[in-house]
Amino acid sequence: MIKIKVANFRTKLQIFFLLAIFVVLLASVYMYFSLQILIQDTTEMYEKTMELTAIYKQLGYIQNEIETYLSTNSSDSLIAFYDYMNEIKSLADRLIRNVTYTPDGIKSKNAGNMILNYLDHSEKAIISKRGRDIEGYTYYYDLTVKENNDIMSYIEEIMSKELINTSNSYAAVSKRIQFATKFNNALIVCVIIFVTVMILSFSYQITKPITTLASYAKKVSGGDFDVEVQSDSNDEIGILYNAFNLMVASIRKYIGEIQEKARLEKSLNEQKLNNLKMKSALRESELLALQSQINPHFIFNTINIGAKIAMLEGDKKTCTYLENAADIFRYNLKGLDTNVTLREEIENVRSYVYLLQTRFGDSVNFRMEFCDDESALDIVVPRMILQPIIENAYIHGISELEDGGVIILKVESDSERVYVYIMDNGKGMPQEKIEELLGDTSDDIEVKSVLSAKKGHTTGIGVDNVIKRLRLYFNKYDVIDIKCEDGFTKVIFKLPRKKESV
Amino acid sequence: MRYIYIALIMVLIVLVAMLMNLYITFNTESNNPSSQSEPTYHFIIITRDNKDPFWARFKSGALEAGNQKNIFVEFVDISHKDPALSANAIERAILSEVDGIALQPYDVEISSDAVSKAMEAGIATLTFENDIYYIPNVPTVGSNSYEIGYRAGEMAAEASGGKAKIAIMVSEPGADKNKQYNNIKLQGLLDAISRYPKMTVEQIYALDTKMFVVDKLTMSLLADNPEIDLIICNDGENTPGVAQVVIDAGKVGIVNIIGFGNMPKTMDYIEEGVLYGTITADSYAIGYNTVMQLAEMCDGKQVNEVLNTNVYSFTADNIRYYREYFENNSQ
Repeated sequence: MIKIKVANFRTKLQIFFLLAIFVVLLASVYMYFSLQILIQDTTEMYEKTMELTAIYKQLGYIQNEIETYLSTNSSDSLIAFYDYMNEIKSLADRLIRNVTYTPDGIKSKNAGNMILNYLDHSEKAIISKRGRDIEGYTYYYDLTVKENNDIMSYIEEIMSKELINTSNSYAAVSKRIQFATKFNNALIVCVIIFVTVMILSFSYQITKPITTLASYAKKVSGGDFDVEVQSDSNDEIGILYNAFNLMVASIRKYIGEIQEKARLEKSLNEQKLNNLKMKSALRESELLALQSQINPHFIFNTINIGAKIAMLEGDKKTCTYLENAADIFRYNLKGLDTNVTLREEIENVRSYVYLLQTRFGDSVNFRMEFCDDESALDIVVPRMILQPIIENAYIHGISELEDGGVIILKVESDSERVYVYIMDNGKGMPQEKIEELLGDTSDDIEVKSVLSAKKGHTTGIGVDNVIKRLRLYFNKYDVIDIKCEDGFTKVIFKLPRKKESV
Repeated sequence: MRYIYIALIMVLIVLVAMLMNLYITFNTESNNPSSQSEPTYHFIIITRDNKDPFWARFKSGALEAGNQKNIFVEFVDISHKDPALSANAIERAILSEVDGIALQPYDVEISSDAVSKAMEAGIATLTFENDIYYIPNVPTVGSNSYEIGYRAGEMAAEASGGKAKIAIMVSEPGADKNKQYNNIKLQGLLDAISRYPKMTVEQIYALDTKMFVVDKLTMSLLADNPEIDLIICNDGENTPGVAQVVIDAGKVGIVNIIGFGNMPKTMDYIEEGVLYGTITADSYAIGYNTVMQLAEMCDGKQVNEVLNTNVYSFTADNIRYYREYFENNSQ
């Protein structure tokens, strides 16, 4: 395979145009020369006959002049003789000079030599006449008459042969003219068609990369940056293609960077918002706690002293009651922004339930069930997430039941999560309320929810606050679920073993 | 793109080739391929324009010698054996200032006169295939007439088994000068026949140049001399005519014929068994040696007065050699 590598776009154009011009030029030159050759052949065909005819005529004239001079001594004849002699001599010389050594061609030389000899003898006749040498000029005259006749008959023979040859040649030349005309016509048509096809093909080929590039540029302008144009040429088109590819790649890269930046900014904003929400929730919880407990340390100390007195008095039940109450206060005093283990949360619930059971007697039946996985109780959770739910189960669930009710706390686990079920067989929770609690976490709802809590009976932290804190803490949405089924209202904590990083 | 350039270049090459071809053709035609370069000498050989293969082979041999020596050999054909035509051709050759002239003379007087003029003009002159008209001081190239006659006699004895009644036809016996030639040839023939006592020459006929004379002569010969069982015709041009009459007379196999020359029909008749055989001169060698001798004369070298060439006998037994080696004019 021939490989033509033209690096330069301009060179490609120049080479193409030069080649196309040369094709047309050569075809024209060919036609010109073929016609010239035919013209020359035709001319040559008759040239010799014309020359011989001229000599033939002159030989007739000169012989007349010799006779006239020899008989009349006319000076006019003498001058005419020499004129003819010079003309014939030059023609004879030409015949000898242009001899071709062929059976027919040699005859011209023969004729030329014969004429020169004849002219020599003629001149001798004239000279003899002028010298009044009667014998001489009669001898030479007889000789010239014979030679003149001989030469003329020889020329006639040559011309006759030439005529036959010319006829044959003319037939051949005529055929060649016809063929050359047809061939030249066909050649020019073929060359025109060929050059036209070449021009069309070349223009298509030369503009194809530009058209392709334009279509790709259109795609890029439409926002499609996944285009890549391929070119194996080394010319300007190749450079253009590479530049285009680089440009598209650069644009794609910059847009990616911008998008990544925007995503990070969005993520950062979301994190900031979450932090703000967390802070807001904590502040809210703390505010509520402060509102419900004006001086928790004083109350805690008071209860603690009460417990000591009861122990000194031997009232163990009162002592236990007060100790549990003191534990709850102490637990609450540590603040909501500190985290605890699930075990500590459950201990707090146990203390709280003791208080409830002491206060309300058998109407509160509390049961706890644990799985065998001890490590499940060691996971870290936000403080005060179980107690508000127990409280809620009692206040809104079973407190209004005449025969009391059951609150069950159950812990299960798998490899991913720890599940804490708080179930009560109270009056249940409407589905709207469940959806409201689990779905909407807007501030309005939070406030509404919190405000709707019965302040006199609660620690002040609502279920929605617990849900919000859990979701913020674990950075997951599905960390809690509420269901009403089989006569139980179930609040299910789905606590991930590993905390999701923000 | 690449294919466009390739196509253009290929078309360019084709066009250049066409132009070259045109140029070469033009030059070849201009130079005329049959034209030779400036020759050393220009010879004129006066020949006959009949269809006798003798002349074709003669010219072939002469041209070969001309090519070898760079000599332009011009043949001037004359229509018949006319000494005046021959002399006219010589005069033209003298005026044409040629370097050499060769002729087969048809008389002594006119031809000698013309040859003398040529020699006076300093032109090398010789005769070929001539031992009839002796021209003094002019070398000759050709076959030996006595040998031809003798070979014909030998072949006649071979054909008849040494026992025959013979009729002999000789060409142009009318002119006095011809007798010399015929006598030499006849002498050879008779010498050969005389060796066989049972072979007798019954008749000797003369053939002239008129058309169809041989037909009439042969017909009357066969009719008037039924005892003749062998005809010897020593004229190449008339040999096929004699054979044809023998065929027409239904005497093939009865009358044996010994011919002369190598006319195509003569050779065909030998193959067909009509003719027993023929004696022929080596015309190629005659033509070749004519030019070579003239060239040596022009070079100023001394040449032999007589240069004899070979004579060949062909019968049905060896005619295939003729077909193989002679018909293509090679030596």
